[in-house]
Amino acid sequence: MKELMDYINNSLNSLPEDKYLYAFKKKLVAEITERANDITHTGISDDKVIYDIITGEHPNIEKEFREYKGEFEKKRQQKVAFRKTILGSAGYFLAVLIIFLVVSFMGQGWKKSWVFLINGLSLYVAYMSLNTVSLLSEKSSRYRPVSRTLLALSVFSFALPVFLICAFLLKAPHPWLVFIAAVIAMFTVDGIYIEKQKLRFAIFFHLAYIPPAMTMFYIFFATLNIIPWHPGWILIPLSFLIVIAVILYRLNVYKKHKYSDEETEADSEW
Amino acid sequence: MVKKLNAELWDKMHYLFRDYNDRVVHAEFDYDFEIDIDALKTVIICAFEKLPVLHSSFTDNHVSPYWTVNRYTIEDVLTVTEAEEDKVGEIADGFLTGEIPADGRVQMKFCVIFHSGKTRLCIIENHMCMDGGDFKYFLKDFCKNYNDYVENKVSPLAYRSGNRAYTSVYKDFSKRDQKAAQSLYKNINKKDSHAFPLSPSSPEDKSFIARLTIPEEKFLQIKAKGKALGATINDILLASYFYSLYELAGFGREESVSISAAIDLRRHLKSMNNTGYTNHTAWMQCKIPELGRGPQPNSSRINTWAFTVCRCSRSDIRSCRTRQARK
Repeated sequence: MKELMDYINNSLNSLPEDKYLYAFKKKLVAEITERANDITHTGISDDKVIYDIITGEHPNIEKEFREYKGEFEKKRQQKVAFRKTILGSAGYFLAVLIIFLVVSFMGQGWKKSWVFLINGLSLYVAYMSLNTVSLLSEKSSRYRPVSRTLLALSVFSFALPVFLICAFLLKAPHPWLVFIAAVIAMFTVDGIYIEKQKLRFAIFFHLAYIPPAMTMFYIFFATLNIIPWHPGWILIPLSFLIVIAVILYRLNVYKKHKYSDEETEADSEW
Repeated sequence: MVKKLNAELWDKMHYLFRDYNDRVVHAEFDYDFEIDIDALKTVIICAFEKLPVLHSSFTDNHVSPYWTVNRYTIEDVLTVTEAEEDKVGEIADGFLTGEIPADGRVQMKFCVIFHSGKTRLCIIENHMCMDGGDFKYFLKDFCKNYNDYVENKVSPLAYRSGNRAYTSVYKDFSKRDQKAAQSLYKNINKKDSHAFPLSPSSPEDKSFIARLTIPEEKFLQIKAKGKALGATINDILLASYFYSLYELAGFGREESVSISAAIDLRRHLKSMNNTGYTNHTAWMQCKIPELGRGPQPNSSRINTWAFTVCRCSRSDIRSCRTRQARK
């Protein structure tokens, strides 16, 4: 054990003594002692071998310490970020309320000022959803379904203010088209997300999105009279043909692929 | 704290096939001296410490199986015995035909039999941990570590440790080759009406090892003959295996039989330095329509007066290999 203690001290002697270093050394000594006991219990009595096994498992103690200290720093930063989020959210809601009240009282526009309140809430939901997606994306892949749901929610949370402004403030025709565009945006955003996350079988999701996205596309542009309703409906069966064509291409593209490896001497030997 | 290890694809596949395949890999060595048992114990424990899967038990969680690393002692792994010359084979075969339960504490066992100043070393290992290919490399490293420890007192810790995932076989592929390999849908599994067991099971059934020693001279003759006809050792072995199976199982000459030939996928790895000991084997189904005929229209078939050698084209082998790797 003396040699192991010397190894730990020599590895860390360049670092300034602080509470983190003390706690780390204490934890490491306990772990190494238990490990040495385990190895001895298995049947090894050669101290040099025990020393080599343990030092091989801890080749860079300084790096381990920096990671250990980094964990504390990360937790501290997370606490600070959480406090900032709480305060920021409170400040945001207060600002939205003040703007709502000012607009309502100053312009006597009570009939329309509620739009600012709803928009403020909706944008907050969108922001928090995206924030949560960003946090979950760093974690295990089992959180992906939650992330994708929150992404969809954030798209519609952005779409709601646009709809309310179009419908109640601008009095634009067909304001509901905003939600049709939001559906297309939702598929696009999800498609980009699953590509970035390298989801297995992402191709199946891309193919599944083509027909409904094309349908929404048809409704959007036909309502705005950019394309005619008839024969514009052909886009919908065309989307299914596109899906079939992509599937057939993927099935056959590598059928006649020639691999680049060469026969080796080992092949001919055996 | 309980330590867990990922169960890789072929770890799970060998577990699934446990009722059909022999899940144990065997090795036997004869030395004309007595091994240093204390040194051997140290070398074995060091190997186990570097490869924690060897002292883990498999947990058959249906959603996500895993290995649980166990505490163990050298007595769980090594058996040392002395025997008379005429009993050595019996003791060795008894050990080699033993079982290693997947949920057991250790996945590799050693037996040392001292006899008349010589040593027979027998090793059995769970195929779920590594296949024959990596077992060969492991044994090479094991022997080198033993020699370095005994001769130079170097701690016997020189083993490969790294990724055991089956996907590492793709890491040196070009992107295009990788996509092609992962997109292969060619069905190479051919239906065969024969399946094990070939006769009803009995409580008296016991595994046995059939040994045949071919003199070196004869082996070289067989090899040379094969080379002259364009057949490799594996082709010759496969042909012999077909003939033996037909004879032992009583299949009619006109019956079609398929045998799985193992392919070592390590040929696709440029360097194995960051790869752990694992399973990197694919299977190629070799099916013959009847005894004495080749399997496929595009195969070369070579007849000799002694045996028929059947050989698939190299491109079929490549596509079979990568198809199995993709699985």
